[in-house]
Amino acid sequence: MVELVRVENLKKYFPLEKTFIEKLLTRERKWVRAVDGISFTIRQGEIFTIAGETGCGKTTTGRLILRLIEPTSGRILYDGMDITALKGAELREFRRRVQPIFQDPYASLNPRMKIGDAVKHPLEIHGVASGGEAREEALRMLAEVGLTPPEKFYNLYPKDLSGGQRQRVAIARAMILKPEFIVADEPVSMIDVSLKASILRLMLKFKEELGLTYLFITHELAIAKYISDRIAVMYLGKIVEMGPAKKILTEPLHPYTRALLSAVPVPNPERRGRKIPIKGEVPVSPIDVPVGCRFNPRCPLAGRECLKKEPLLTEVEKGHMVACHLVS
Amino acid sequence: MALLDIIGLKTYYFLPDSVVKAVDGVSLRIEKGEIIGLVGESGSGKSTLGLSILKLIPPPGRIVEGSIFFKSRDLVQLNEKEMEKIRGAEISMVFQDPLTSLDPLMRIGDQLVETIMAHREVSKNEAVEMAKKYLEMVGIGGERFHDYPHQFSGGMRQRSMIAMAISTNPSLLIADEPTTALDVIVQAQIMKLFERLRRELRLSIILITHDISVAMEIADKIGVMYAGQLVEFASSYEIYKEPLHPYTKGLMEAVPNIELADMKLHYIPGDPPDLSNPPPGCRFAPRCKEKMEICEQKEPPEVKVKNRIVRCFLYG
Repeated sequence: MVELVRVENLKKYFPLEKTFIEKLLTRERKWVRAVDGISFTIRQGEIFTIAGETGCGKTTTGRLILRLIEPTSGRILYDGMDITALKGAELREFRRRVQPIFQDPYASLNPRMKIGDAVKHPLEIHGVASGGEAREEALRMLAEVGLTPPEKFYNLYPKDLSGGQRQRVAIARAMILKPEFIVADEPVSMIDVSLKASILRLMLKFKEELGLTYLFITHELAIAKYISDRIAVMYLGKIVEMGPAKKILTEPLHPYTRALLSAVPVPNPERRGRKIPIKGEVPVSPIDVPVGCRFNPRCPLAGRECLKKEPLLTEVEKGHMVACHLVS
Repeated sequence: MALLDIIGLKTYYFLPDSVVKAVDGVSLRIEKGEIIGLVGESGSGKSTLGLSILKLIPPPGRIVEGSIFFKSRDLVQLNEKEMEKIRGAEISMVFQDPLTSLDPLMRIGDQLVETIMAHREVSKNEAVEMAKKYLEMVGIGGERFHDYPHQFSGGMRQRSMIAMAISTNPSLLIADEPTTALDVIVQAQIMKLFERLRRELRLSIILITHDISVAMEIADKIGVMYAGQLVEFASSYEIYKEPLHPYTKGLMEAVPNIELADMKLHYIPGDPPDLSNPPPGCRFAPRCKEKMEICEQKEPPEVKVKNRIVRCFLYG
């Protein structure tokens, strides 16, 4: 398979705001290492999922790949081009080919803009179509995402729509430019459970029709299961395990992945009383990351090596990589 | 005698040009030491029901009909002064976001001591001892007694809220989405904590959640709410093995299950109704796969099927 996105040793550090007193006392800057040296590739036509808890760096990774923020170091290649070097017409073309879908359909739509106008807006910005032609295309997209009759929805405002309907609008707006690659950051986490599958299926429908590739970012492994080809699990800015979705979900190797999976609630009362093999939670601030393996303070298996040396992401079987001293 | 017996409760919000029937005829019963999961999607009325029990409905909402018997007294009939003696003391509540309920300028231990002294006849020294005991009970060591809320992680804050809620020795705890803002591992830890408190304190818990999987982890019984009404009330096992109401069936097919090999996830077409103008007849009828003619004409009654309650014409 052809690779579409290549991420190489990507880092993003955010400076930590100091208080007035701290500014007077010290010139040293502190950094939040949101993404701290990750590498992976996304193949054309696949759904690649990044999963993890709060503060693991999954959303920052998505924003870097969309080039909404600049990396501290490392490279992101899209279709062979280094995206941090893109300017002018090239950057505009990148922005047409790569589209985002965000978590909160209440925040991502302009409350004063009619639904139809919001959907056709990208066509006008990119000079693809205008006037009646753009309107026709927007109506067609509204019908495609199931907002029918489209003529009615065209003239509504976001406040008239439910959360699920708004997310459909966000999808229509993302798809109208016929992009190649979608970064979907928690696209169903605010959607009611009875409707989550309808949004996921819509995403899959466009994947078929347009031959799309997805980066899917989620904190819900149970959702990732239904659509992912491959999954990368992140913890405190690092990828701790990566591989085919089925392997990660049924034969996880990293102690963190195992803990995460065992903590997912299961809608089956007969499965109660499972053990959660780890204690504690993600540190309040990821500023002072632990020495050695970042997971060592919570790891039930941590040995001496884990306290000293940071484990590298190593291939343990074909396509399955783990960053753990005890596994590799 | 049940600890809490809600009968035909209706709580409406009176907006300038409409009336939103947020809770519309709900009956529910909870016994001592029982955990009830109250499950529903956004706008189903589950949170309004929780607030109704404590009579904390913000205006323009109010209880318009029904009774809430708690230890044989009808809370609906009590005045504000009498309710104040029940709130926090006999019925406690824990919310989704602990930060909004904690005082950021006060040490955790002091907040707990203050709560205990407000509700119980004890000296300061006794209150301090009790505060430490309750913190320990929820898994917070004595060394954190003098910490401020901002020094705590999300999970620790929720634990301290729970400590505060149980420190008055209530018989009922209402937890409204207590783990929704927390990571999944912390969520699992908090659920284990609830389970332990029920066992050790014989506490009854109403767990309000949008996530039926979370309810399935600890609840004895589950009440499924849809558009202001309780459409099904049964044991967790029955809901899992054989959901009766078509909405519950749809929900169980739509909830992701990480343990199943099945890779197909279903959804319920359509959207929940507008509660200021609900459809005539059954509120779920517009989305129901098993809809009959009568469903769009008459509102279905609550039907008893063995020990369960279902609001659906399929069962009588």
